[in-house]
Amino acid sequence: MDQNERLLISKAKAGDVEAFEQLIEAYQKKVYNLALRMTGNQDDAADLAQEAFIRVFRSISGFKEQSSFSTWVYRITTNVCLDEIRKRKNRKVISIDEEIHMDDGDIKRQVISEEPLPDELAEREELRSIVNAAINSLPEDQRIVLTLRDLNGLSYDEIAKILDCPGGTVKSRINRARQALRNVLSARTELLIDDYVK
Amino acid sequence: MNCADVRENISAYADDELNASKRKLFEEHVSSCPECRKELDDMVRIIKLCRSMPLHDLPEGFRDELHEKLTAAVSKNHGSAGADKPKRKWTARTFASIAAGILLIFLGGSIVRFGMLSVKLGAKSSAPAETASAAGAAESPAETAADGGAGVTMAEADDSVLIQYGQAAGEVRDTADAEIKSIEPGKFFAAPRLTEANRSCEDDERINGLGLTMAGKETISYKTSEMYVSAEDPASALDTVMTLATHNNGALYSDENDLDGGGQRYSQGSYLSKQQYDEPQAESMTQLKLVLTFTETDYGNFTAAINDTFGAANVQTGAFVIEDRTDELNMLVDQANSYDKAIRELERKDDEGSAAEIDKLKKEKEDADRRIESLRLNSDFITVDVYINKK
Repeated sequence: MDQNERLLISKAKAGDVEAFEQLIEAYQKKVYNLALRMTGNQDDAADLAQEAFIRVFRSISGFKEQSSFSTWVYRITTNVCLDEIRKRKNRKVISIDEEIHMDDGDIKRQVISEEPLPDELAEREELRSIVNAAINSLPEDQRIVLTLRDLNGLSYDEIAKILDCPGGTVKSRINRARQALRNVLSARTELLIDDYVK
Repeated sequence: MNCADVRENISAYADDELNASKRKLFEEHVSSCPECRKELDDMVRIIKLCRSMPLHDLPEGFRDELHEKLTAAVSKNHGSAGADKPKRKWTARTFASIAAGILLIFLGGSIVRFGMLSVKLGAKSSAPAETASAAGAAESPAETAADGGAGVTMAEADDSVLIQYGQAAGEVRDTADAEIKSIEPGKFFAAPRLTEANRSCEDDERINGLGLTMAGKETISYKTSEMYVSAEDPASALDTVMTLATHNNGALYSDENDLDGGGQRYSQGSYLSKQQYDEPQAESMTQLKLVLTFTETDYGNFTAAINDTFGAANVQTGAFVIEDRTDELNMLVDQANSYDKAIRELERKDDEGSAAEIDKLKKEKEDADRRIESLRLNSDFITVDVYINKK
């Protein structure tokens, strides 16, 4: 933890909102994207990300600085997200881009952009939609580890601390998640051709 | 390493998370096995694909909205604690639930445990069947109230007991130590500290014509209960209990000192807090335990759902215990106010030397405010210890 972060934390502990906002600046986008992955829609993700930050702020006086601040922020975020997911377990999760839906195993675009994209761009867009949909189809425990790893770039050890579970669990969940993704995506073999991966 | 081992470690290898010796074994196998090499290539592509996914920008207005919420959180925390509107609305149902609970304590004489405080009342009941009839009555306090049974329960509860626990949380008390008082209608729910003059008639609430009144001033109590479930497979029963709890807006309890975002026990795959628990009367029997919190209505629904699922014969609901914390709240509010006053006085002086003192007082005030908030929050919920036994 660097000196600046320490200073901001101590100011935030004293109730300084601006210091807190500086402190979380680097995490806002990542926390929002994590929530977006977990909930699948932008409004819920914004609400949950804000709730997570409010919770961080409210409990920061109890933050003992034994773990890193980022681990702590992600831990609270994942708790907030999992909590919400369990509350509405039976509700249908909407696809992350909202313009994509799964239908008989096919992925179709509901909204077609008025101006056609150049081919390459369009292909990349389509590819992203497919990968998004595939990730969203994973069970939440796999989705969360995969997101923390690939989207947030965290190590297995950090993820284990965030989720409060053994490192071996993280390792096997990540592996299972990727195997599942490969199975979904291998139906479209061209995706696994080098040219598509840039 | 064989093919199966390699497939298990393939992600960890690609993420550079294998130790040197495993890494070597992995590479040795892959270099001689074309199939595993193909697997590895595919996996690397999948990882690249996942990492190429762009981050979405924050929605418009996100920062402003968060700023408002944060500012609101600060002003709430620093507002005059005493002036806050009481969160709890005492309703006829509340009274009925309490009455039912108290009656049960008396009838059941079951072992009552909650949190760090353990109180034993009356004769120790070891057989679930003994309290089964009592549990039947308690199976849904809310229901009892809803059909107007409250009046009867209350009227018959003349010689019921009100248990007040001291502030010494963590202390284990036995029967002799528990302070037991007879109910004095009219004074029952009044905060002990309040004088008659403090009570305002318009704030008083008349309940079911019983003549019970309560002060309009904030009353804080912790409500706890217990539930025992017997099942063939306790582990899967625990999952079922958790699912039913989730459906009824229950949450795993996290105490006020657990500030790591609350409920980190959610984070495990099975999100369960399994504790080995030695039941005193059984021969070191293993129980599964989880602690849940509910609002009253939700708890009523939850108990009903548990009974429906496991069958009433397998479910035993413990007494409904109320621990009055009003004294503690009043003390904290007084404390917070006196800190406020001291801070204002020091600030008026505008003496340079007093800055450190002000800071210190502010910290103490914040601490008091936090404890007040925690007391109020906990007062809104019922905490239930659920024990699951193997049948």
